Amino acid sequence: MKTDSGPTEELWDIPHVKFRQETLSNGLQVILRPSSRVPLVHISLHYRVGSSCEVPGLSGLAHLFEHMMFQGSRNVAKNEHGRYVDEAGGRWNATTSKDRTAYHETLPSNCLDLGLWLEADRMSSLEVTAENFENQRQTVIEEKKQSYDNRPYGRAFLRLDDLAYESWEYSHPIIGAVEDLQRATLADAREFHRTHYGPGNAVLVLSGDLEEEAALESIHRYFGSIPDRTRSPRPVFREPSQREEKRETIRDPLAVLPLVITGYHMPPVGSPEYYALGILALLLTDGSSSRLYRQLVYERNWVAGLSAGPNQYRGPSLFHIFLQIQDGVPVDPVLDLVEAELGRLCREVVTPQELEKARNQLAFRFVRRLEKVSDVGEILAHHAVFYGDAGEINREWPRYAETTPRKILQVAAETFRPENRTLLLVEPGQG
Amino acid sequence: MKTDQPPAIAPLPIPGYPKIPDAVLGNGLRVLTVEDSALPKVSLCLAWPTGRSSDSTGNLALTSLAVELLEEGTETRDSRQISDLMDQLAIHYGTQVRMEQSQLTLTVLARYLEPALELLADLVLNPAFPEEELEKARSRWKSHLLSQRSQPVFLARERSHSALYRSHPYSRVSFPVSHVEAADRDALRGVHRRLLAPRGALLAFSGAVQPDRASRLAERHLGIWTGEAPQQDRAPLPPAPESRRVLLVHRPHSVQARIVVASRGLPRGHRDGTPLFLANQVLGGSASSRLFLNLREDKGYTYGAYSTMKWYRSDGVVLIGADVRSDVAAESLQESLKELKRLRREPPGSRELNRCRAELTGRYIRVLETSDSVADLEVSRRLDGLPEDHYRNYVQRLQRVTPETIRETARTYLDPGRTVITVVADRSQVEEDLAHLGPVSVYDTDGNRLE
Repeated sequence: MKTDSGPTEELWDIPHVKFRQETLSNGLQVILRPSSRVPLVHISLHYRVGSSCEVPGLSGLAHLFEHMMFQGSRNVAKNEHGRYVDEAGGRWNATTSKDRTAYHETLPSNCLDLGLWLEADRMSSLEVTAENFENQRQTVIEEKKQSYDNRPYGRAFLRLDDLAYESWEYSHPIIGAVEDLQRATLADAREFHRTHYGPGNAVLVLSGDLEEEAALESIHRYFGSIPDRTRSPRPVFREPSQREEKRETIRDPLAVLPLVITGYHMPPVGSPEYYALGILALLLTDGSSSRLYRQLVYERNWVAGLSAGPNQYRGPSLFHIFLQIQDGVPVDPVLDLVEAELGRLCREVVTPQELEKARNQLAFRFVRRLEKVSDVGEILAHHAVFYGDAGEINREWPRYAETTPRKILQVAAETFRPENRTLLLVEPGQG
Repeated sequence: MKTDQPPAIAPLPIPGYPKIPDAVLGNGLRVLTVEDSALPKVSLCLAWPTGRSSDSTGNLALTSLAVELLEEGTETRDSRQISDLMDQLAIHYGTQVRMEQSQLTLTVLARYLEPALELLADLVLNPAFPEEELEKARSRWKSHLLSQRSQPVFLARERSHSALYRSHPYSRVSFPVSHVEAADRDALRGVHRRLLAPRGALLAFSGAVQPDRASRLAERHLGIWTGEAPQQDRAPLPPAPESRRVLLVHRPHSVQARIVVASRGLPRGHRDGTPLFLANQVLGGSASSRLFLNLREDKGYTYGAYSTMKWYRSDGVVLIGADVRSDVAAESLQESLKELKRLRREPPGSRELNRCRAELTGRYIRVLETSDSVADLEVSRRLDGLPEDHYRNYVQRLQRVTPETIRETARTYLDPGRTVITVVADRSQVEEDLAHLGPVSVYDTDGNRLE
């Protein structure tokens, strides 16, 4: 597509993100990114612990711990963490993934020290009591019902990794098994905290309206004296390569339309394959002109919704494809068509026009994500944890831009093999 | 240095609400610009003061379908050409039909602004509403409406709005499949002609564009658009419920219960709106609010419990909502009603009220962070006819509300005896317990009354 907007090379004016990086003597990795459009500051503290660090029989502890972190520490009473942030007009949350647990606060910038004090207090002196543990165990069991058991396809989302992975680290669900949650003891929880929660296993990012020297001084004041006792072992992934297709059908009484979830094994986030598969996902399902959308939704109306993309896992990852099949449409022709399109990607290089489209979409994404201090902070923390270097935020774009049509073809051929696939079909109904 | 006490907090200078220049084109279209050149991107929002509740034809699907089909063909471009162009330039386009507002939004890299606006103008001025695209849209809507009926949140919202508003347009949280089937091209053209006109509409630019360029571009691409502002009839509101009603939507195999306690609230811009908004915040606006602390932290009944407010131009709704364990659905409702009574009995403490003010002030500052969200706020302010200083004085208005005003406001507007209680659950697990709250009317997920 030609426009009057000048030559293509000038397109790629993605702003460079400047930041400062330090490591405290106790191992806490610190990243500061000042910007001052509004008086807001985002604090992001990521611990390098996720469900992949759990041991068999104690699934769900990493996520349960995310809840425990709000149950009080030496100077902050139960539930007071959130209340302090709310009283300051801030916003807080926490999430657990397979590879990390993230805590964050977005605060009016006059409250930066308050946020640091709160995070430091629970890093150094969390109170893991029997009462809190029991209460949060019940809350998590309800969360599981709300987010998975009572939601259409909820159980299927958990089942895909279970089926696709042979190794424990990624096969079990982040939310945990109810019997494991019930089995876990207070001692297990305390041990988990000692092992994983300390400055040496964490990355602290401040982004927004801040003054660098003053912020660093505060960080030293609140975190500098926390000793590091963590001995968090990195999970070792021994995922064998898959030799034949895995396929399963499950029934879901809450579903109204059939759903097909497919996962292809792929290398971790940040690998050359990851970028190539990111571009392939854009070509397959992003926007109504994408290959699968156009054929399955627009032309044939076989599919009600679809998406595809590489999972962001530090270890062996999956490229997923979701297809929600229209009522009364047989599944096999849909799968044949997807198979044919993936096959074409393995044989024919993508056209320059398609590649430029993908690059425009990526440029848009990279510009848009720099708008909010919270987004920038989370991306820096993510890169520091997943890539070992927050500077990856500025190298990501060139890595996509330098991915050639040949490389895309090669990665497609390596990935989209039937024997590399796990396929889960969810049918509406009692089962 | 002692670190066992929280650090002292310096006062925060509240950022001012930006001045938003506007200009009116000859055809009545008002153009706003929220300039912010920090990043090379621009958003457009074209908004009309008409929505789902504005349609007088009796077919509630028409506005949604007409707005959605704008991108499915014009006199010179077919649906594929439009989506090819949008994806090629990475134009992020979306439509929304709300209760009383419809809008097209578009975000694009700054360098593609002009082709994006040219495309937007083509969609709005020259839609073709092709029959085959209408047929596809019907099918998409049928799937969507079907899948809506599997969602507890939707079912509860539908049932409570229907009980609060009966046949008034505010009961229209969705529409039936039959309306989608009955929609034809002539009807869509009629909606396009009557409701989607330049006079009364707003076009907001936000991002890396200067106001004079925005007006020039708007004139160049939308100057020839014609049409008069639609007549807006306001249907009379039904009275608020005289007594409490208990409704149960039987959703077989539910493993939880969705509970909702709904009260009629206030229209946007009402003078008691700020104290009621703060009362709602005390009750359930955040995870530090009473409902969350009671139902989740104290009782462990749920993953989260909140109350929210819906603001319409002539009325509003206050909704308490939570997904709870089915065996404690009735207890959770009793606790929610208790919290309503407490709000009417005693004024909130000053620490609690300060927290609520801070939460709403913080949310306001976060809205000011991006030019797109400022534009969105300003568009709604203007379409809803709120005064010019509505957001400029927002934080001061919050400061003026006293604990006693909150109690008075709750006494006036939040009567637990005049609420509509809705539960979405498997009836076998909750019906008996719910009977203690009052006579229970049972419905299926299609809205039919069950015995």
